[in-house]
Amino acid sequence: MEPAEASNPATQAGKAASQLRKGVLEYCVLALLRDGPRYAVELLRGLEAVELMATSQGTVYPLLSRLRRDELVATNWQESTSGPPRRYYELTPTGRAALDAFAAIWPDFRDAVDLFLGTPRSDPSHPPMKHLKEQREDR
Amino acid sequence: MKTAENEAVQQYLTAVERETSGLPADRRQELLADLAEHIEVTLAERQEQDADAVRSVLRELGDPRTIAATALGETGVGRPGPAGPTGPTAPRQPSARTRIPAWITVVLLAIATPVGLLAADFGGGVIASLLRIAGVVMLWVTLRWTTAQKTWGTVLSFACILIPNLAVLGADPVGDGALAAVHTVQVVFPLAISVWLWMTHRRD
Repeated sequence: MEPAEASNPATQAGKAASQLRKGVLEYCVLALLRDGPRYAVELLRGLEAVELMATSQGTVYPLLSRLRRDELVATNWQESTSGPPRRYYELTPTGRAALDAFAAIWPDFRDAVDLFLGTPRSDPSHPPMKHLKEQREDR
Repeated sequence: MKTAENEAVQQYLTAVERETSGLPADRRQELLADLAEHIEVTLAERQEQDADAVRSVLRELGDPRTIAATALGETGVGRPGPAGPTGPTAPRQPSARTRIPAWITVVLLAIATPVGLLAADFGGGVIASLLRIAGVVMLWVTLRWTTAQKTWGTVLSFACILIPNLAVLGADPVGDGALAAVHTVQVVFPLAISVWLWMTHRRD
């Protein structure tokens, strides 16, 4: 029953969400660091607060490792009053520049995708939900 | 944490280690250290630290295979073909340094003492020291060795020169036999270090 599963809207939505997340996750991590240093578990909590960004926790560590290697973030260890020392992440100037660059192109990017989808947010005659509903009824 | 819980964590980390055999050794160690730290911190921040808590921490961390696949994707190791190492996620910054050949470091460290001895009448000691420092600098600049190897290489390179010198410090004048022994150690040991560095350097 593979074809049926592949056309399952829930499966497709999950796939699309996963692809999109892959592209933007690192900028969301950088954005979480904008207001000051945080340690990894705090970063994960920040991501999990938004359902769409929640991902299998362990997969964030290879990303953090790359951000360190590319020197978008710097880390230092700090003692904690409870439990082991934490490794705090903080934005480097390069990291801040990467975040600013992303923030600058993101609105255009979002609008461009909206344009292709034919769901301009400012057009009340074409509310996105109605559009999707019509398509579903066509089947 | 009790032994049983500790064992569950060990098993989990071993599974990640097994699944990441395709990663470069340093990346693999880094990932394992990050995950171990995550488990430790998350458990410390929980009220309970029993078997259930450990289980739920590991479950939230996710399937070792998924983590391994992500890690391999990040390094470009998992991607076949020439697109791999030059792909968009390949580290950008070190590209120039990775091209520095390993033999420069190896040769500089090996010839420092012999050149110094041959040029003994023209400030050989200074020349030897400069060559050795240049070798150590190249050892750290190039990306062919792990940090641990670089550290050992540096410590041993200086130790095998300094220790023989200190051993004969008290003797004045130093006997011919002792001097020959000192020089032999100072030629042979750096040579051995160079051979070791050559054998262990990361190839492209």
